[in-house]
Amino acid sequence: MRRSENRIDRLFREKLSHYEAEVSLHVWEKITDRLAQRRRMRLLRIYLSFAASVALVISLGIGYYLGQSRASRVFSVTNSQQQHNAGTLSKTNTIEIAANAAKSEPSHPASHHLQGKKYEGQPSTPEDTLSFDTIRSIHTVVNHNPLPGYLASNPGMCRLENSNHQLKKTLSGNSIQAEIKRSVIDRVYLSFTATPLYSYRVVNGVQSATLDKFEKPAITFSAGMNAIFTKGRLQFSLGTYFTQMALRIDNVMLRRNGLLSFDTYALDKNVQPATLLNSSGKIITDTHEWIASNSEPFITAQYSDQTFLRNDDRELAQMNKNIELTSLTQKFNYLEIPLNFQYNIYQRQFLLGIQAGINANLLVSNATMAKVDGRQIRVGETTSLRTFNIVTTCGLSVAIPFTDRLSFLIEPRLRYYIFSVNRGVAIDTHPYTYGIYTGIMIRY
Amino acid sequence: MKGELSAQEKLYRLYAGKMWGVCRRYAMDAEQAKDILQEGFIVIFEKLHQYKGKGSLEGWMRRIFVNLALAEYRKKRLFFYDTNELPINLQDDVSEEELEEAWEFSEEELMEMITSLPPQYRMVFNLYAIEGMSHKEIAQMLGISEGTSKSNLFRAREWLKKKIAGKKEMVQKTLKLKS
Repeated sequence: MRRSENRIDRLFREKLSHYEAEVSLHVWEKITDRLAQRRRMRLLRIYLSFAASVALVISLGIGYYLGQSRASRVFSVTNSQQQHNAGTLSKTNTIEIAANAAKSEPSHPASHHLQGKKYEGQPSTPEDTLSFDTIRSIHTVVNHNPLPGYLASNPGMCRLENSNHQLKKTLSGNSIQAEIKRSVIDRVYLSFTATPLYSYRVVNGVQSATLDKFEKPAITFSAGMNAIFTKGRLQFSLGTYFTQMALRIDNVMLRRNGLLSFDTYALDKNVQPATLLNSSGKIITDTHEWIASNSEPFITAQYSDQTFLRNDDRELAQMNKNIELTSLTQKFNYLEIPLNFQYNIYQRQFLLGIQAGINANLLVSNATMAKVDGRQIRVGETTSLRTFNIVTTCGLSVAIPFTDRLSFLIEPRLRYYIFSVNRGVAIDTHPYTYGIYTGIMIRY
Repeated sequence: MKGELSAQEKLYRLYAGKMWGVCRRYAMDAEQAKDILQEGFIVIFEKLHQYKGKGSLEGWMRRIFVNLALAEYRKKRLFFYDTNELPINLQDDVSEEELEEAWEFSEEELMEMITSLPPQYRMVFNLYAIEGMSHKEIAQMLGISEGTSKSNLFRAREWLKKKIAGKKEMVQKTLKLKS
């Protein structure tokens, strides 16, 4: 049904539906800039996906290879046992363990679940002696699960079932014999951890003292996975993480323009359009009409008490509630490829290690959020950011086993950005973050 | 890459002026219109392969700009005050004769009137009066009821009538001063 036409509607439709006007030349320049930027981001994303995939495939590949290697080792030991049964035991693969040799520890107690039937540890060299715990566990297995059929046919030997390593015990005298083969890496694990991340930053530059007052720590998160390789007390890990780092700027003023929208504050938007310069680069808002500014020199000159609201502003705010004092949060999303090394200083009932490493960080995206009416609203993004950064890390690692394959991980970790996150700005900003990563570690 | 950029520039030069008009009608001001224009052309360049030749290219582009403008409006909506309560003085209503004379206003003057509308009125008026959409479609696009859409359209028309009357009055005063 054709609706009846209103004369106002007709006036505006006929006059404006084909309206055409000259567009500023700057618009095309900005479009080409953004197209180039998007192209770069697209290439970066492809590179990031590729790098993350390669890291993952390499980690899983090594794990798979080592898993296969262990399987063949078991097979070869079984063969040597058969040879032994035939009276042709090769002494080169056999080590002798004194029953009271209690000094040395197993290589990795986090994986060394000695309850019941399993023995997971192994000495790092054939010459090492096994700990008393290990020997006792072998005894436990032998005594509680004597495998009578096997023992009946081989009175001098005992085989531990469900073990990755074939062990045999000579019942004569006080000695135990175990067959062990050396390997480059003892174990492979996968860990999945996440943490809330507390971001702070170190600022070097003339305005650092001023900025300290306004930039506050922000809470974000980091999550991802690692492939962990162990050798004795040492372990190294390679993984992929998504890490969001953030900086918060407090006391930013948003002012509503009349009744309808926010407008810039303190800066003439025609001269310096709605930007906010802080130590982490220059924030450019999505639209130019409503974000406020807290240009630092301006604030320090006029609002040293950090309130930023003059009396008349306060009155105005009370009258029509069109000024809001809020905070801006700059969020930086990084894809992270961490390479960490760890030395285990304690490894008995649980594992305690110290770790350090370097992480390649690639900036995927960034956003600037404002808190308005209790909600976080995206208002723009930060420019002049470095897309690649190196982060150093150090921390502790605690692994508490709760099954033979699964451990609970707690890893307090400090991260520090070696290169300034911004570039082309007079102030260098080096964020550092603190988080307690928690998650699980699975034996591969 | 260079050839692609050259083709993009040609497309931009051909349609930028027209699309600028669309952006101006929906945007709060020229700055926001520029932002929508930029964003719109970037979307168009990236999705041009999706244009299958059904309908005119201009119509397809226009829809992209309108959708972007609406997205921008929805994003900012929580910052707007509810202008349903804004007083509209119907005594300032425009007469039939004055409305006829309004056809003499320039496009730029009419554009200014539209951009002065409160956002929710402007959106509904643009979609209904200029794009020719129904209240049902508008209600779906803006996430409002059909009743609100009708009410906003009514208020938009009243607002524009008031603006036309005000404009006429100003013109007459200027003429008197000159004489």
